[in-house]
Amino acid sequence: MKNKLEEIRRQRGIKQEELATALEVSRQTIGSLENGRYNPSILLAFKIALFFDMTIEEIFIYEEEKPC
Amino acid sequence: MLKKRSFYVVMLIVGMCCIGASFFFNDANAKPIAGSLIGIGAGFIGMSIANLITKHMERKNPTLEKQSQIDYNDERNITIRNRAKAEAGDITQWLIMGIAYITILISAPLWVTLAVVIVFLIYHFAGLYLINKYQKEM
Repeated sequence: MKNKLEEIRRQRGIKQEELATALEVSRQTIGSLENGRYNPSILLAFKIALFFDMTIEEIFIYEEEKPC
Repeated sequence: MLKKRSFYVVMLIVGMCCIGASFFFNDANAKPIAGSLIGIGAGFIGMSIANLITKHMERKNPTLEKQSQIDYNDERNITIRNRAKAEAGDITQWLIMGIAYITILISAPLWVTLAVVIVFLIYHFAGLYLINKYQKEM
């Protein structure tokens, strides 16, 4: 799943540490989310969306896996 | 697991009691009991002291305490911990089977092989029980 988290965070001028503190997660989790290495739980996705006052769909992009 | 300071104080006392109790097993036949008590006691004391030092440092520095709580409750860290535990459990399962075969190869007493096989079976039944439990819960 892709996301625009890094782009949105940079637009708002927020540091990874600040976002991590606000969401009560580790800074590494923010880094992993931004790199697409980790997909958040629905709860964390809602927390992120609420923090930026956006919808989940505006931040996270669901792409269906192509059949082999 | 994050525990309260009092838990580690109790563990420290239990560890000291175990080591203290080991001195009462002077008899040659009771040596394995004394050895076990010293081992358990030393383990408890070491773990308690390490955790009490950490708690003391966290108390002096509330930011550190907050950060360690965040790190502990962080969902990615929880996922990593659970995945690591599950994979370590899988590896241990095969090691237990390996040990069972080694006990057969070295002609160890039957009860040793049976004990190892029982541990293997407990692992499997515990897994099945937990799968069933979580399927009902989720």
